[in-house]
Amino acid sequence: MAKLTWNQVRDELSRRSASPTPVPADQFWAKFRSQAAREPRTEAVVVPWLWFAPSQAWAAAAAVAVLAGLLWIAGPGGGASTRGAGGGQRLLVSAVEEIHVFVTYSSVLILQDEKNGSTLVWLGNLGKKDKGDS
Amino acid sequence: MPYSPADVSRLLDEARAGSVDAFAELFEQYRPMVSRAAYRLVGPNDCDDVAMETYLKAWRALPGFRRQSSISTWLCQIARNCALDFYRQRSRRDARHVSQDDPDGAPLIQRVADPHAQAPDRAAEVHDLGAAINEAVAQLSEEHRTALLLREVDGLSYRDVAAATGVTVGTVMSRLFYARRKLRTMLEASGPWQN
Repeated sequence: MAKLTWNQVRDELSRRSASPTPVPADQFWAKFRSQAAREPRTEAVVVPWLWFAPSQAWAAAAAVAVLAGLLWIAGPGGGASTRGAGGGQRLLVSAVEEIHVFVTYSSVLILQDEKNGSTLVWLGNLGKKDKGDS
Repeated sequence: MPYSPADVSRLLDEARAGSVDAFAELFEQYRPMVSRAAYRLVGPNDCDDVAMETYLKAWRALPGFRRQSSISTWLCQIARNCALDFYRQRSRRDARHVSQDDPDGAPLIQRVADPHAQAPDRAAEVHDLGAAINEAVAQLSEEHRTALLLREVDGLSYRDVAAATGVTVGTVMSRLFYARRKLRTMLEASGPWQN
């Protein structure tokens, strides 16, 4: 018997492989239209191409600035404290007291997880309107 | 039907602006590819849902699509994310992991094996060949098997296989190399067609 070649294996695999039965186009797109009509679309965020690279650097700088603030707040003597239900255990909870962002942005979201003592700062749409410095 | 770059740009612009007709016209050609990728990723029972969700997500995200990758690669990435979401939802719902042996997960090897698909005029040795291939494919790792089937059976490009499986093109090439080598080694070691 002839030596098995890879092409033989591939052909046999393709021939025997089950394929999904395609949903008829009319049926698929009718269902798609009905579902798409119920859900909102994401609006395009147009960021000028030349602004992209600098905004990355500014975002990194802003993140570092925020991070530095968080570390200072959570450092010795600087952090807010909470006491657990049992009392006596000091937990450092970071808090954002001040944010300096040197690029424009549209929104800022601060999430504080007291249980884990962490704070997340999210700046939305860096490089857009509404210059922020709060 | 292949579209010229100008047609693609026009249809994309119209679809971004909200035309479902333009979206359907342009994206219909990718439906078989998305269906096959979904089929490999989640199995026969749920591939239609994942394919539909892939298209809905693509529709919602289209305004932000800047064509930094091809449409097919972009769709494959979305399909993969939808498959992962599907697995997360199912694992939360069922509190169990879908594995190769999960009956609901429809093991890939069962999807590959289809003895009834054999042409009646093929000799018994072909049946043996098919059975041996099925057995060998079943022994490949999940990653190797999925890469192999998406590439060799479904005809996805390296880039699209990478997008569908969430790895780099280099990793896809590596997986395909080892999958082919292992498959060939197993077949040559056990097959009656060996020299």
